[in-house]
Amino acid sequence: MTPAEIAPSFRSWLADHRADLEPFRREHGRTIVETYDHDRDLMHLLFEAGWSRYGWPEEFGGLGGSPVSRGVIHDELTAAGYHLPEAFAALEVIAPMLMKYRPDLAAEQLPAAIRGDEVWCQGFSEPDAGSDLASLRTRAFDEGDHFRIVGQKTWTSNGHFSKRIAVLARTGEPDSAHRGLTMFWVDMDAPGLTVRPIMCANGREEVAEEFFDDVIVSRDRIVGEIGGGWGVVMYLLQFERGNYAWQRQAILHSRVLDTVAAVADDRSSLPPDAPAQVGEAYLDLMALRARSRTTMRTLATGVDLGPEISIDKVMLGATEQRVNDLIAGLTWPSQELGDDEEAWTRRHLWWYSRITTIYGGAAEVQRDLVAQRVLGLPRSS
Amino acid sequence: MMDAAELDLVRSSLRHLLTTAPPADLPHQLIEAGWRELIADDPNAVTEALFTEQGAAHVSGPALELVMLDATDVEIDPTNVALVLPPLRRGVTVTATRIDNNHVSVDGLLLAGADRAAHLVVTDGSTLWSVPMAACTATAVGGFDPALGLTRVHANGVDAVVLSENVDWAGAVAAGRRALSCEMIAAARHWLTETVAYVTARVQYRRPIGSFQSVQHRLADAHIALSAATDAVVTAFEEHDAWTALLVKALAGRSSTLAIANCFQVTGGIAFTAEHDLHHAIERIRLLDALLGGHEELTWTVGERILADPSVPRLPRL
Repeated sequence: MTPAEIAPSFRSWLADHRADLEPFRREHGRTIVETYDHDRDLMHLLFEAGWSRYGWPEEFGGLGGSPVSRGVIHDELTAAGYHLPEAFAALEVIAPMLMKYRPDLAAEQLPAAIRGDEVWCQGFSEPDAGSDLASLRTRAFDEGDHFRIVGQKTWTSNGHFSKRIAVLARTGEPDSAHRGLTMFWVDMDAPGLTVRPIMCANGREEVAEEFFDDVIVSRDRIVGEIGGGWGVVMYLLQFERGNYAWQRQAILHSRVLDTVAAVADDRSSLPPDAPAQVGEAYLDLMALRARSRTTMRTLATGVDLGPEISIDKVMLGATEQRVNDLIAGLTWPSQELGDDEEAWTRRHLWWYSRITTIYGGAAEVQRDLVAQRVLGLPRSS
Repeated sequence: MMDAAELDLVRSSLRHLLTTAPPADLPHQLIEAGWRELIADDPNAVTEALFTEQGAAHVSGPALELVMLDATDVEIDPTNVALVLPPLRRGVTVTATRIDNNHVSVDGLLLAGADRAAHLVVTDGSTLWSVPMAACTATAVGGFDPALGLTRVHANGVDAVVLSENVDWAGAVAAGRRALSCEMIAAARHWLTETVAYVTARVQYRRPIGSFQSVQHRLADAHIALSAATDAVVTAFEEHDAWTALLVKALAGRSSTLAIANCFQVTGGIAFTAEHDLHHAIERIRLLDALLGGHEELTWTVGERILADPSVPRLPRL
């Protein structure tokens, strides 16, 4: 089926399965692990019916067709009022890397990930290497038939309940910067790898840190070339800044429109400039959607986007924050005083939106990239 | 549909026309140059090309009338009539008030080049009339952008001839909004390119000012805003409806306004002088934004409509 054909069929399937889908109308669980556990049943339903397999190649457990089909499914699911499982986010970002650089591993492991049975994460950031990724210090020593990894990763989304982690480590000399990096695909239960979840300001353990104490990784778990890790991570980041943004706009659309529907009957409860606030947020959403549609379609043709992708990333962060501020304003003072489930969810999502201009390369770094690599402005010496 | 090479050819011939033809003669010359055939061939791409060229070349004229008149689906010869545009008044998109079928009052704006016309086309949103220009009071508008050459027209109870009793004026306004969006974005984009060159060459504190992060971020924000607006314009042409045109005009106005303000800031004092051309673009974008609804007003309208009915379609469609 083409993306255009999938939408109506999926919509009617959703309508036919209302009863089965009822538990997934909103986010469940106070802890992120509870949320993932709950969402897994929905991922199973979508997998068994084939919907979440469209847009993934057949050799990787999918049903083939354009990758844009995945965007259609995510969009329609949220438009129908369901909670989009968070596991789809990491999948959209990490799977394209594995499919390109290690199709054999993707063939073996992607089906389980699409089905929701295993979660993946990315071990890139370190305590001393955040947006400045090329300065990372985790080392991978070549010891013949395997590498030995020593170091620490942090800010790893879902790290404490993931099954695999993409680890970017230094195989070159300490001063080799971005040239001496290699990507490894590591099982989280490998001896010597310990994980500690990190409680975040939003009251959830969104991220984790990992300690690598002589973790042995077989050579057949290298992703891409030795020393080619920078290219691999740049490839992956296109999807983190592209397809992921499409998912987010789908979720944000639902949240804005659902909130408006819930509060609009009592206009006296709204701020006097509510129309301006709603209008501004909606323009942001449309702009982000238009932008990420272009990006998703371009990525689907296999074309690399280069530094232009930073545009999407800046727009996503700004829109996340604008939308969450809007929702807080429209539902005021629920975020400030509420202790019910809805207030709690809105609050943790508002908090999470604060980090969207920081994770995956801070907004300031993205603006540097747009200025220097897209507009061609001179670097400061 | 045209291919890229054909479209490039169209662009360069349009650019030539726009920069050489006097406004009053532009409708005639556009039609002579095959405008109707071009529009029939690929309306969206040709409209986008024409108004992008207008914006980049800082030439605004009666081409907007052609596009809007085309969208009314009423057979009108734009070489000897001029379309009255709505006055700049909140919520007002019409130009006439009906007295009876053959008498109307008129209030609106004329674009440069309207002196070609013996008759003016006006509407109350459903009926389209022709009124004699001589019966109207015309006052040249100086205002913020005198170079735009606007004229205010006004008349109380003049004779009017019905051209159509069921005109798609919302469609015409939408067509105008799409065109203006392209023009504003192109004007701002032109100055972003100029400003990038300027800050790369201009040295202060012994380095190009374009190497300072605060300058870079201003221009990055300009580029980001214009890129998003450019993608959104595609949506307006795809959907070809009043709602999307309204959304996109609001976004294009907001983005162009932000972009040109950032260009002004980093160009520094020279941009405040009349010797530098950037101020013309600030004036033009402000007026293009105001025509057919400024971005603040339209953004408010977007919010009002969503508050009234949150079941709006997600745009663009996949």
